[in-house]
Amino acid sequence: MKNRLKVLRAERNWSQADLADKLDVSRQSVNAIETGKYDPSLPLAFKIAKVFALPIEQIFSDDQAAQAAE
Amino acid sequence: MSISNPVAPSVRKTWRRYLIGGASMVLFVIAAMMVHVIGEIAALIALPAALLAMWFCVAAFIGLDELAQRAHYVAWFWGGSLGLYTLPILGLIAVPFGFWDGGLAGLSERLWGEATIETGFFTGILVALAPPLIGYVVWWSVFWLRNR
Repeated sequence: MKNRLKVLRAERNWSQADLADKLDVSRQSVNAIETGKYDPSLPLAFKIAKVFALPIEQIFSDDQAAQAAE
Repeated sequence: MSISNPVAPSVRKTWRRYLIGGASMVLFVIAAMMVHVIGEIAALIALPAALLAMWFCVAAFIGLDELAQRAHYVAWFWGGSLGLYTLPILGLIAVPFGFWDGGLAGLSERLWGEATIETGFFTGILVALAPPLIGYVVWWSVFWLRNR
């Protein structure tokens, strides 16, 4: 799964630690999600969407579906 | 001027729980090993210590975020399982090289200086638990090294 977490975070001038604080997770969790090593659970994905005030599909996208569309 | 603490309060709370749980576990092991010296008093110490250890370790685990919990699941399944699978291999190495001479009693005597029911019991636990535990710790460490 792809995500725009790093871009969205940079737009807001937040560090990984700032975002981790807002999500109540560790900085390592934010890093693992950003680098695509870990896909968050649905509750955490919704929490991320809420923090960025964006719909979930504007943050996360299915790379297999994107590849199929191309 | 205030200096912010780099460690979040929730993380400190989790580590505090782990520390109390770990200390209780150590107390349990010491008390259990003293059974043949102090008798029933050891059981009176060991049982509450074991319950305390379980309580605080479960509380600490629940307080972890989902990646940290995943690290434990992954380490438990892969590290623990692979560690367990090394047991027969270790056995195959131990027998021809004489490490298993005298069986569990022989190993107890070499480790603790005597072969009693208690030392045999603890040697058995050690032999069975050490490989999966080592596998668990290695897998958990590699998981965090990759996600640091």
